[in-house]
Amino acid sequence: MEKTINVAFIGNPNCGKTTLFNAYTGAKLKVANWPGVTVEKKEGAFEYHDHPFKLVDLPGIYSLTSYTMEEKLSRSYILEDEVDVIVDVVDASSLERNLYLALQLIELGKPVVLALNMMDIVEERGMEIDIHRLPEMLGIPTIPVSARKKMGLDILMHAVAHHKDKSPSSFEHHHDEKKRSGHPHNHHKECVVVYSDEIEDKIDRISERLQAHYKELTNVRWLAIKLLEQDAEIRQKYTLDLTDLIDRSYETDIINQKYDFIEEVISECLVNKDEKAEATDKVDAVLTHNIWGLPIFFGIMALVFFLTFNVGDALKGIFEVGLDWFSTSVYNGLQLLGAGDVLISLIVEGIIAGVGGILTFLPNIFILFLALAFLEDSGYMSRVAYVMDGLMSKLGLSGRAFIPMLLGFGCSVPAIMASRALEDPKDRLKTILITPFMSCSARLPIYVLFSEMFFPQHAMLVAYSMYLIGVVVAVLVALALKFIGKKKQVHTLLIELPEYKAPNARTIFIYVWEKVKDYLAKAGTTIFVASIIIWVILNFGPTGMVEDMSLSFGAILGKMAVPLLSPAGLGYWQVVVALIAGIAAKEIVVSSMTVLYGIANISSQVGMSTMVGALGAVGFTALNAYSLMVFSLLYIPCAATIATIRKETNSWKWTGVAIALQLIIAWGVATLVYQIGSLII
Amino acid sequence: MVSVIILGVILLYVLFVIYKKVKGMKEGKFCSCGCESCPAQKKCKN
Repeated sequence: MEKTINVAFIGNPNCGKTTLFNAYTGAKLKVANWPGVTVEKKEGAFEYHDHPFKLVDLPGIYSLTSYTMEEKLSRSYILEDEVDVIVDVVDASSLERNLYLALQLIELGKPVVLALNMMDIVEERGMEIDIHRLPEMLGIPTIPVSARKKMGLDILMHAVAHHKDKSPSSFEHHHDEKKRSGHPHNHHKECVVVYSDEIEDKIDRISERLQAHYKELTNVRWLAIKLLEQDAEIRQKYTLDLTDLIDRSYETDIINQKYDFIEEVISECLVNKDEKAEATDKVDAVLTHNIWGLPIFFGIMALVFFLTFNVGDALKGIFEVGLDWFSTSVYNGLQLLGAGDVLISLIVEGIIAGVGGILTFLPNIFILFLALAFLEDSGYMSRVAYVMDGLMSKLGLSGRAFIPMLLGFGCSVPAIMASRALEDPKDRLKTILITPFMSCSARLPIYVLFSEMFFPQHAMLVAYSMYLIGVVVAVLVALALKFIGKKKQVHTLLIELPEYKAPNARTIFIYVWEKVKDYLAKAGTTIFVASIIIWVILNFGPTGMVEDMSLSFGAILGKMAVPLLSPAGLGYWQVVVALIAGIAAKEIVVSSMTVLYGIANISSQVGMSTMVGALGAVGFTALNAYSLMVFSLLYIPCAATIATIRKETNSWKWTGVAIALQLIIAWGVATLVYQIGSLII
Repeated sequence: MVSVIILGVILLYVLFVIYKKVKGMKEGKFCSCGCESCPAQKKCKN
């Protein structure tokens, strides 16, 4: 068996690394048309011509400077792990920007192969890249590929296999003779970028000292450059006294000189550079307009919820019929088998009602994720961060912090993890604290059910208002945290606005299918078990099995918190039980209600009428329902989110703060809504 | 008898789900909230 070749895929955010990784490994990792999707490295394996390859997909970075968590992770992997070949995935349609990282990687001295991705877009724009001159100037193999169309994949791995032992300096460089410096050590034969004489002198002298102290070093030139840039990590690791050589940070000079070389490369290798993305610019003039950008975003989100409700509800009918049939069949079947009444109640009123009740909302969830997938893959999501930057900076946050918040519309767990893209730890913490206020998809069944039950004419508007309340509360909390925080910070948003493109069917399919699969898995595990537990605590009390649920353990537990929630219009033990159960997973609020009232098909017209009648009998009105939705939106996040907050903050204290903050705010806002509503109605 | 068998199957499944969840939690694989496409899914699921 031949030795496995370890290949690391690295590149700027949103250049198509994960799409390329998926194309090779057959994996279905999430890809999206906005930066920061990958925040952890991912591994996969495949064989090319009987040669085993291990591929590692690294988070997108713009440079090898260690500022963000992604940059730290990618850099440490490239530097310390057993990487045989680095594949620098480059968005060929933005060659100028992508080459900066490429130059840093080449300077590193490891074998690098340049994958020129998105060549199809380059052609569409009428540009051309001289793929003969480019490798001459960079000194590394350059392979045009299209990850989306799976073109050039074989030849890329062919190049990787052939160049695994060749460092960039093995190649002949072709620099412009006129630009050669008079530096005594002429590096034009071995270095991709040759800096000014002053810097080259310093690099040579630092390299000599490094080699004298650390004899095993192989990437001395790169380390010398990093020391000149005053890179904190490298300075900490290589503690040489260089005060006589490094009187200041040469980072700006080095960056500028790299860009001078990039300009040289672009002028020689890129033809028709000016004919770029006119369509994108025209669309951006509207979508990212400083006045209209924000209303357009809220308009688009309103459209998403319009589709979620109207198209989702049309599809829901099929599920309701199926659930009715299944419930009746199981009931009849169990009776035929001679099963006891308790068991029939457990299965039909507990498990099927609880799990089935959640499954009927699958069409709404499906439509929501389909719409979000379209927005992500089209390239709109990055624009939202850009549009929100003005507002976010007023809150003491960067517009980039809005990306985790947007992800929160899907699920809070990946959203909180996405906050790793933020450089400042305080920004991260703030973002982690406010992200759970964004309404995740697990809360959707609660809105759909209660808005359709109590506000049948305006169900969509009522549900949409929940999403708006979530955003407004997140903004207000961020503002409050800004005033509490002492440090005044200036935030600059540096975010890539990717090209608009027609969403890719495979990407959309993977995204939606994974969400649907997870929803089904969750229904079959967490909600299944929760439904049984709820059935048990509602049917058993201190005296054994009870006929009247108000004597059950559940009722006893619920009644304890009733006085606390009464000001918010939620002083009903049934509601309290549902809310407590919802901490495990928010959908359980709905399944608890179905088990509580023994309604087999809660989202059907009959099911909803029964529920409205039962709740109405105890004085639960539309105002109470609205207050319940607000409370469900804002109160303690689900168990998985709590665990994620703990993991990401690495602090029980901050996890406790997040829980307490949400509980207090949920209670406060719900009470405000209920009390003001009571005065008006 | 039928009731006992069905109840037994349900109980076994519940115990299995709880066992898997607890085991996952202990290993730090707590992500069970419908995030197959989560950026950290490899760490959580594998």
